[in-house]
Amino acid sequence: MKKKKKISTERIISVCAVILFFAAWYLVTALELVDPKLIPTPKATWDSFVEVLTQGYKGHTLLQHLGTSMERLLKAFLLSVVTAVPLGLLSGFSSKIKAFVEPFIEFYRPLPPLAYYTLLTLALGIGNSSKIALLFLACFAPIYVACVSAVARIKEDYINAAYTVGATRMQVFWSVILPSCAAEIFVGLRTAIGVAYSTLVAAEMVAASSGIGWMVVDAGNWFRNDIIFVGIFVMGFTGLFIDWLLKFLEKKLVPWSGKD
Amino acid sequence: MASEIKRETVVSIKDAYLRYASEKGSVTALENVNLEIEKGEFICVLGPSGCGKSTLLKIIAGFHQPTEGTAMMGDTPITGPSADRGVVFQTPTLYPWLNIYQNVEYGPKMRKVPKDEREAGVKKYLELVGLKDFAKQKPYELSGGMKQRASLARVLVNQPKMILMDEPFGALDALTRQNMQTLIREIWNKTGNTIFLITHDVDEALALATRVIVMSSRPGRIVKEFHTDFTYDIVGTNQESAKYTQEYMHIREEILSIINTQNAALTADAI
Repeated sequence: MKKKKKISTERIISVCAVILFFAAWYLVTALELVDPKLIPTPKATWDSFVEVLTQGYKGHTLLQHLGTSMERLLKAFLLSVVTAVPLGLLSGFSSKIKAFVEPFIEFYRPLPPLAYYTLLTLALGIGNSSKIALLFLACFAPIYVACVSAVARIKEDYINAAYTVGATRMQVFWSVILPSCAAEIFVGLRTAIGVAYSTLVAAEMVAASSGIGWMVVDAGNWFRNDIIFVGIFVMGFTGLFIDWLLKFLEKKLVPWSGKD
Repeated sequence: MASEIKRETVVSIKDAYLRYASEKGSVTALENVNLEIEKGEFICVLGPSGCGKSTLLKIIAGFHQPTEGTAMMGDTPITGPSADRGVVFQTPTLYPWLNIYQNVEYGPKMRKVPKDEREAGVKKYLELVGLKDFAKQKPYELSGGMKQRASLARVLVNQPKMILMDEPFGALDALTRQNMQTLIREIWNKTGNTIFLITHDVDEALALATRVIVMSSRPGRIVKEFHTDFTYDIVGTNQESAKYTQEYMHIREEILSIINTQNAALTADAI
């Protein structure tokens, strides 16, 4: 079980690749192969990072920008979890519910979020609500789809076994369907966070004055590529962290995943 | 058995057909099946693959309803699964999110049996199948044979009127399989349960059954029944000795010849 003690060759390759990337970045900027305004040096990026962290960017510190964004993301994510998971599982469980819900989801799912974002801002105003609604819609579809497919993939005998020891339909839903689907639900959650995260910048492009996505867009307007770099790094690492967190939660909550 | 003992029919299947539509048109999975299962019987069903053995089991379990004819448990038609008819599946269906104790407890818990009673039942049947020391383990930590023992305990704890098993030992190695056969025979002896077991192993059927049912395929129907009592001889004596009696050999050969004719016909069909 404890084979993770030794660092694998793949891990070493990954670390080397990252080091190589930073070395290349340093070399390209140090030798001024490109305009430093276009690609800032690692040092300049770091300085900007410290500056944004301590003094802030346009009235808000980096953590405040990040906090605003995370609040939007988290609210939208939680809202979609509590709606999409039950609805997705029910749709998988009952073909009639699925028949009612699915046309709408199939229709809006491939739409580019910006296409209906204007409508959302008109309906919900330029405050947080419209942004949360956009992110909510981005999260909803992947979670819903994962839940429907998870139910479809449950071994029929799992459900039959419950009925043959006397369980009711309701009990089967909570005590067999839900745990059977847990692993796949987590895959849906991770996809959803990914999609929502990439929608975040779009959400904050319109009518916002804070947020990490807004910071990047605004910095672009002023040709502050160092700030863009800072924003991208922060978003990248935050994304990695969230994904790691979800994987960690999955391991804690669904320890049987991939076994049996 | 003495004839004055009143026989009690647990399950009766009358003139049952099961047809379903497929791409190639209507398929008859079961044709004119008539079967009365009496209390305390140990029925083993043999037949080539695709002969409708599993379909018959599913009808008794209540997963399917016959398209024609009737399936009754006592005086009531079988309309769906119930705790009266426990099923041990070919591949274990223990829930990996529950430990062995919780898996066995699942049925009584769902039926809201009081906690004390539940606990006594689970302990009793875990002991009976020899898994007392594995209560806290997760299903994926157990071997194939142990998983099937746990599946058996999970069914027994509900005290079903009938136990249905679909090739329960099919995936086990020879030695484990023999142990499981001994175990199931002992349980049958102790509890007086009625058992319906599907197998593809003639020796397994003869070593366990009080009645062997041989089915044929396309469409699935019952072609022959044998009343056997080798299982009584095997209890407590040398298992091997019963296998070499004249009668045993005779029935074994007859069953094999029926199945082989079937298989030959199938092969000829395929060509």
